[in-house]
Amino acid sequence: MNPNIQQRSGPANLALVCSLLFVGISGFIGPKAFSQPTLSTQFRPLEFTNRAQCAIQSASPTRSMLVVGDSFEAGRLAFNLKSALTSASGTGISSLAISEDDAMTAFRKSVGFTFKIVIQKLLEGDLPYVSGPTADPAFQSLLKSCERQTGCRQLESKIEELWLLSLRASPPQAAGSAARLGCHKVTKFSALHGHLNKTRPQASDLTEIAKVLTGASHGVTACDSNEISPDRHFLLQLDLLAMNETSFESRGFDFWNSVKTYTAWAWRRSPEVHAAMGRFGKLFPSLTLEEQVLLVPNGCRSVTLPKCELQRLSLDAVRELAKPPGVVSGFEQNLPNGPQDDVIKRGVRSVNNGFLGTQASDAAAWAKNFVTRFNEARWVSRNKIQGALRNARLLERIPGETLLKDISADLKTFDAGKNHALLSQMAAVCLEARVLEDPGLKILRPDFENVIKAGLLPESQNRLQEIAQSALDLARGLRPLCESLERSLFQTRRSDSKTFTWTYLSDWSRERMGPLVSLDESQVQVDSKERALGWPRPENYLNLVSPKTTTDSSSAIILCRSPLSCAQLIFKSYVDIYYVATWSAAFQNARKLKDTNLFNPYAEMTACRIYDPWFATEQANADLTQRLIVSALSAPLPVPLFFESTERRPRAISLQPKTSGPTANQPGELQFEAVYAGEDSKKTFFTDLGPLTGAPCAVQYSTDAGAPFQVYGVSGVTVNFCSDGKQGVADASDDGTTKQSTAKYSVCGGCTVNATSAVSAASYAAPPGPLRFLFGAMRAFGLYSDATKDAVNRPISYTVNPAYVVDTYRDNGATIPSSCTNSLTKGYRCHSDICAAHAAEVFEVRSGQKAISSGIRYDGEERSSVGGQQTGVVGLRAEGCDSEILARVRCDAAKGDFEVIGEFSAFSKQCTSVIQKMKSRTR
Amino acid sequence: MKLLIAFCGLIAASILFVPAPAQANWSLSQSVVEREDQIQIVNRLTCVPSKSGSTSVNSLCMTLCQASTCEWNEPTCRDCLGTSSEVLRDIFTRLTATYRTEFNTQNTSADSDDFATTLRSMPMILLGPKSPYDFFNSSQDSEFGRSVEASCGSKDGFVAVALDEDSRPMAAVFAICSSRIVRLLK
Repeated sequence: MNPNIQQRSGPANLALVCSLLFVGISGFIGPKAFSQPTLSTQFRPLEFTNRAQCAIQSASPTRSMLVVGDSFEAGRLAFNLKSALTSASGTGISSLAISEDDAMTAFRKSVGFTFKIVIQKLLEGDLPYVSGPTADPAFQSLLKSCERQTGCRQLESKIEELWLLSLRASPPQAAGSAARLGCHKVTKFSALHGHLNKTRPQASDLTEIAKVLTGASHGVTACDSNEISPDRHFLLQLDLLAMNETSFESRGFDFWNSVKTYTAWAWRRSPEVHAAMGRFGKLFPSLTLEEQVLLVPNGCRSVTLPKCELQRLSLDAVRELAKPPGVVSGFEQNLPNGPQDDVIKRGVRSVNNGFLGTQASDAAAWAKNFVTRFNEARWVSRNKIQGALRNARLLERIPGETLLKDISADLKTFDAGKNHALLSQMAAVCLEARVLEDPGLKILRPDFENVIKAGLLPESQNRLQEIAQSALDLARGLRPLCESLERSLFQTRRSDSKTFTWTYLSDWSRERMGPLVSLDESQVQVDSKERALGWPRPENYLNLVSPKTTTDSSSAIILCRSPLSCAQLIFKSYVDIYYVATWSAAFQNARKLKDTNLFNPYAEMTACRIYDPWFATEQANADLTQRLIVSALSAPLPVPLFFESTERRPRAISLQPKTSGPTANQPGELQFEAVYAGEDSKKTFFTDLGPLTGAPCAVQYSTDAGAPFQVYGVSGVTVNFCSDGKQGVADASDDGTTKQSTAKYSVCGGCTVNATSAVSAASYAAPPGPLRFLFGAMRAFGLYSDATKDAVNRPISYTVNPAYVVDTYRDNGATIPSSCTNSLTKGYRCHSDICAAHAAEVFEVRSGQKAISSGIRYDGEERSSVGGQQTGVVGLRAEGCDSEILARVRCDAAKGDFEVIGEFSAFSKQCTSVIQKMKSRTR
Repeated sequence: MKLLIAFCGLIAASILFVPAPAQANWSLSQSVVEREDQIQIVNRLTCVPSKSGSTSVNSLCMTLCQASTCEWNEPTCRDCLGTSSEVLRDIFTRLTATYRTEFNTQNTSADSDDFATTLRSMPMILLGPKSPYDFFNSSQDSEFGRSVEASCGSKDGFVAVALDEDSRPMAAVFAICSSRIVRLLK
């Protein structure tokens, strides 16, 4: 089984595009004439990818999307309605039958219906895209102007107008009947989600897929299933089955953007959607859909093109919350460095290995964990806003200047020089003020200013900005006082006789100053409640008094025990506002449906240029070229020598705000660019002294301490010799374990040549000249071959079409023959030859007729032993056709590059008719 | 049969869950009903003839209903069911801290007229104890109930919230107590 190894340079780049498009083409299974609308045809082909390919796919629009939903508020609505009725029933009148489970089920169905109707309309072309080259420019500018507004009537009217037009084009019942979309509620993760857990499908995975789809328990039910479920959390899967794949590759992001815009509108305004909500049709539209669902691409592709920007990174950071409880994320920090810092710290990681727990079968439990953690983090964020607003309101009566005066007065009144507690809190306040206001303290402070400016703060945005500004003013106002203290009282701090400690640092600053504080705490023990209140001032500075009992001092609650505590309260508000701004895209009231690249951590790493999926490929190509050139140049020299310079993979050390360039920040945006460690390329010099000294000696110098000693290191190449009776086939395998045989009757034998000693010995004898070059070239290709074995950093993908797997399973008596694995994992039906399989697939897509069998006769006497491009004639048999259909093909199985040259042809009347129909379909 | 069920549902559910005290000559109530297979929140205002001959409170009915009783459906309130609205969060959790009342005990008719005029000119939702809109409190002994009590003197009352042109809640504008109407100011 050869993977689809993607090549970048030249025509190979085209091969990638073709391959990606093909993945889509192979999914064009819904409307095929022969296809019955069975469950297996309702899913997109599964794409198994390794790290590099996953990174590449992040820039491509997804064709399969998961909707993670929370029905809690629908259930709570039912509870509220029942409560209202219960209070009424006290008078002896019975109540309406409303149950939480009914409401939650109706909600889940309504969500599914809304997405379905919108997606159907967009796929049918009944609704126009809201963005992209074909979108109405006036509409786009209206959309842009409404982006940051809470309400936009003009936009809603415009969408309503478009919606009405779409209804005329295609009434709802017609839209619902077309098989352009698969919509399922996922109850269990199964082999149908194997691509989230594996980078390479095995034969057993194919069998599992077939078993799931043909067995009694599929793990999925229809979106609109009436099954009442007590599950509060749900997972819907939406698979796009039929659309123009070529244009979708370039317009898919506009498609999803349109889905989000229309869905949000339809939820609130569409009579069709309201009808689908059943008895809740007048209530559900008042539920904020954007708060109840989160869109997640089902795989490595994206819903929104990833950008290295604060809001996007914030949304993608939500991934951490999908991990099991207890896994620490940036959301738990009081003073987070932000997602741009976390993405660097987390560094290289694995993908598609079930790292989010999708190997467990219970999808509802998975959704529950994720949604619960997400909601908790959201509450923390929203409570911080409420806290900041409340504190600001309570402290309104103390202007900043007054507070500064009172702090100074306290220092004198209570003799700070002799008052350890007072001086300690003063030191804490000075340190916190400095962290807040001094941009020079880069190590201690995050980028407060830019983040607060770029954050999507809620409706109380202006007020929050004011609060942040007043906190900053206070911090700046404290600077002269703090500086004078640094020259006087703070200077006397000695380890043996401390005049102050860091006891009174707030939680957020303790988080930053960890070691500093722990040192003090080992010596000074202060109760945490006392610490929170501040130094024990004899008289409380500011009390919160209940409005009803203003005269009763016993009901007073201490707001600030001292002016210093008030200052810390204000600073805390600033830090909280920063926190909210940092994660605002993830947690604040959404004006748009949110999506997150949950399963692809390389989405943001690629967008931020932390990871280059093409690096290994380009490096291998560059090294090969360099080694060949060096071999040619060194061939005439008296001793074999080489010099090579190999680029190291760039290592990003931080993401810094982007300040210039054509894509510099838009208002409200904070884009980042990577800063790399300045590392030199790896330089290696090698010479074999054998020809001069007569002894097998070699010298190597490298700037990389870990560079292997490469004495013509073409070691361990396994060569298989195969023959099919007609063609002698010899394939060098990638890993020496998998036999690649394309001939039907091949007989293979293998042996390993220890090329190191062979080449080394030969080089000893090799005189300068062509033979020397030959050995140099062998070494270059040998190392290139090693480089191509990188299963992680060179893009590799496999595609499995569930419908084909099921057909194969059924046709072969409930088994998947091992000979089918190769073509089935490339997204084709089971055919023995991969080029023939591709031709069969093209025929099916174009004609809508199933290709029953497909074989190939290659041009020439023998197939190339190392692969490469080949041509031949494919003969296939199809349903509804009594003879063979022929087509010339060109293919390169190693590169995954296939092409049907010219037209399909046939000799029988029946088959010619099929071909004619096919031509008229594709015109 | 369906109609019969709907009718029974209507009768069953159309019940005041915040009845006004007997001394008031008008009462405002909110109920949950199912009509034409749709669950709805319905408000009802009922006026009784005033023995004292005062027309001040009856003018509420006259302005709103042009009759002694009328009912109206709660308008669609965008994003009001759930916890996303900051305005509703403030009302349900910190009404007294966010709003102050402007009692006009000398001339309550001015406030009721004001309320009636406002209700006719702009959509408003009514929030009472055990309100379907309350996603913030878990029991009737809630902060909201206490706040209504602080404004009205008893927990039986409503807070009227004005909606903007996009049907989003803007602010609480009136506390509708059992015997008077009080304007709320931020």
